[in-house]
Amino acid sequence: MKTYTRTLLVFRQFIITVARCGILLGLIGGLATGSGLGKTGESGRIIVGAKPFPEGHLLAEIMASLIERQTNLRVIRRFELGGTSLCFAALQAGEIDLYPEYTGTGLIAILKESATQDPEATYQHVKQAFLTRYQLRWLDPFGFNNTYALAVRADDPDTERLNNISDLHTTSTLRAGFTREFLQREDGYPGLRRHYGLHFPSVQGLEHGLAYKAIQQKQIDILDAYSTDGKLDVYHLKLLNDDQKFFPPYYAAPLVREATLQRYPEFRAPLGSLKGTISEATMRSLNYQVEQAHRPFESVAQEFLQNSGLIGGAATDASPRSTSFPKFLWERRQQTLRLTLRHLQLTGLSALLATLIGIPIGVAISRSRRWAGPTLSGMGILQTIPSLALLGFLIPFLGIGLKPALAALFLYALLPIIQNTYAGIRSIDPSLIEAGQGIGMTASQILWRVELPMATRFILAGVRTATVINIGTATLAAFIGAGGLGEPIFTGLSLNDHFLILAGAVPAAALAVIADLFLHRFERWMTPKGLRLSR
Amino acid sequence: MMIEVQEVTKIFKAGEKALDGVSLQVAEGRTLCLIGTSGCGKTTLLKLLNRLVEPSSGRIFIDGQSITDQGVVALRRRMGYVMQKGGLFPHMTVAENVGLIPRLAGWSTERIRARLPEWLERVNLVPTRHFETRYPAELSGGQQQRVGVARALAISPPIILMDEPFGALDPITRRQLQSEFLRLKNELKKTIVFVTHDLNEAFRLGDEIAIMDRGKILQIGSAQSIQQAPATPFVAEFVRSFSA
Ligand SMILES: Nc1ncnc2c1ncn2[C@@H]1O[C@H](COP(=O)(O)OP(=O)(O)O)[C@@H](O)[C@H]1O
Ligand SMILES: [Mg+2]
Repeated sequence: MKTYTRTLLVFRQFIITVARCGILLGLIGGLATGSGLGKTGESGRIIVGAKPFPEGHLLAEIMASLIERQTNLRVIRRFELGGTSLCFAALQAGEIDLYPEYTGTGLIAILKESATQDPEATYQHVKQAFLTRYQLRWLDPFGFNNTYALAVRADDPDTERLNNISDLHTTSTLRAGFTREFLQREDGYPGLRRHYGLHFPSVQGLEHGLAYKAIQQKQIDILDAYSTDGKLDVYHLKLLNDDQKFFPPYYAAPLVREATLQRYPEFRAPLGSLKGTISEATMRSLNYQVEQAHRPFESVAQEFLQNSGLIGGAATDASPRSTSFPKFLWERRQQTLRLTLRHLQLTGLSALLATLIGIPIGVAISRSRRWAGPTLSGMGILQTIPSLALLGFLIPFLGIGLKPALAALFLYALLPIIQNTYAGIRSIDPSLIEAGQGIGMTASQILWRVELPMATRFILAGVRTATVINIGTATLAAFIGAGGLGEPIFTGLSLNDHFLILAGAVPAAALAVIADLFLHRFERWMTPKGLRLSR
Repeated sequence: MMIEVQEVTKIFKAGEKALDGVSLQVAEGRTLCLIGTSGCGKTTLLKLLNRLVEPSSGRIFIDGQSITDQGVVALRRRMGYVMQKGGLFPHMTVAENVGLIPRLAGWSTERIRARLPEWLERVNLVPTRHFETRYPAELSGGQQQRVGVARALAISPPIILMDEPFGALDPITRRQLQSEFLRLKNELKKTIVFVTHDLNEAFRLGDEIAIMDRGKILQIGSAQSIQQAPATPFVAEFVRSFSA
């Protein structure tokens, strides 16, 4: 009876608190979405997506700036989205309006059909199938075929006699380093292995930029590459001929929502004018510009559009990238500031939300041992889900962008806060609670005047842990288009550009250190003086 | 304020009676000392009075009214409660601890401030200015106990419950606090139930003494009647063990 009323009182207090917080959050949320990214289909906006690799980014930038130049539509860029399935899901959900896709990928990875060798037939087939099945339209291809290829060191005695993929039968010592996507896709390694009957003594999953380093340092001997890869020449690699014709054609083309085309017919013309303008050699050199010369995507895209006569205007800044890191950072200061603010928004909002919800949950389970165990272990399991998997899992429900990122970060922040609130309240000497009851305090007076003040240190330590962890995890938010300091990190990784990686990693690390110091101070400041004396 | 306990039994674990058919009365303005060996049920009996523990059977009345007839918070605010280790809140200053109940009862800050010196002087925490801003961790055991008593007396409840309040103090401090208790008792005329395991303390402070063993009251009476006519061999042995 007593515990029952006590629980009721606490519950009532909890509802009041949550209601207050709800209003606050509504306000913050309103501000956040107001400044954030809008949903596709709103008036006059086109959202361009791209997969997280340089060529996709570059093609998307070319399309985006051309649309910007030739229409009145506002273009929103959501580049560096996690991969094919993410981009395609986002396109279907209307979170983006278009992104550059490859015919072979459409056929095999999306339609789940087997490869055909004829480029034109492949294109016509995916075009038909996508239109009827998904109401998505393939516009005219850019011109080049970026097929998968295998590459080996050109100047290595072990591999220099190899010319065709079937020549791989003559050797059995080559160690492979393939990208994860290649390792998984039916039109990648699994199909290739069966087609040619290949066997490698070791096959490692590697990020693309790192694979080039690895092959140069002879840690691996063969990698998967794109035939338009600007790095092939730089690293002295040669492509092996697909002599038994396994790899299907991969012609790149804009993949667009039919609904958007009907709504804004004006952006069809600029995309049409890109038809056949990019040959494989052109694409390789464009890739080279961003990947090796470290020039910004925007200026490479601009330059290409001018050189092909698609846009006029003054020559843009073609100056090479600065060679000292401080100078590089200084040049990007505005971008860095913007990304840092977005990063703060992601971690701050999610930590705030987790604090507002986690503390009441921690208090609630401190009242009932029956709920404490299951809640804490449930949250613990949630914590073990890899960040990218959790982000991917949330996409069907929340789409891409800010929302799923906030949701994932919120879920990660919840456990330390609940755990510490629970432990903090449990650590209070039960005789003190009894003293409070004995002198006539109500359950909610004991909660607000005894339990919460005495648990403050623990609770704030939980908030600090959650925030610092979230600052690190939030870099992954870039994969689902939520921006933040992960953007330069992942672009830098795919470009193998250390400056760019550091331009994201250094501010993120600084942010974590500053947040830790600040929250530590706050913790000390908030801890009741009498408690600092006693322990 | 008269306290009346009728045939109260308390069972925590099936088969074990922590209290077994206890009945007693405390007349207004009198002090009853509950005494017995550790684990005999003294604390449980005391907590039954302010409903920190509910009886398994039996009834308790205050001034003829059952204690279950009123709200539990209202009941407790008419009873001061002092615990062995003071039960002070470590994150609150002396002033905040002592002023807590008046504050929760809706007193203004000024009113509390104005009364604070009186409350502290009453338990000899002088100069009061010096103690007001102290935290429990900055006080000696005896001083903490004085704050506990000051807190219990603040809103002048007619009944005071004390659970071995001086049990953890050194003998000199204990005697000093006992003297102060006697002075306060004569001055304030409260109805007091005082738990102790020290018979000399009970004889010194109690108007009546109840000797308990294994959940039962063996004898209730004045110090004199217990010394002269012990009701059972246990009582006789208990008294002898203290006079030795
Ligand atoms: N909350 C409780 N739950 C179970 N048993 C209890 C509880 N409180 C007291 N008891 C038991 O009741 C008996 C009397 O305890 P208590 O009243 O604290 O003794 P005393 O204060 O005289 O030392 C002891 O056996 C004790 O273990
Ligand atoms: Mg006891």
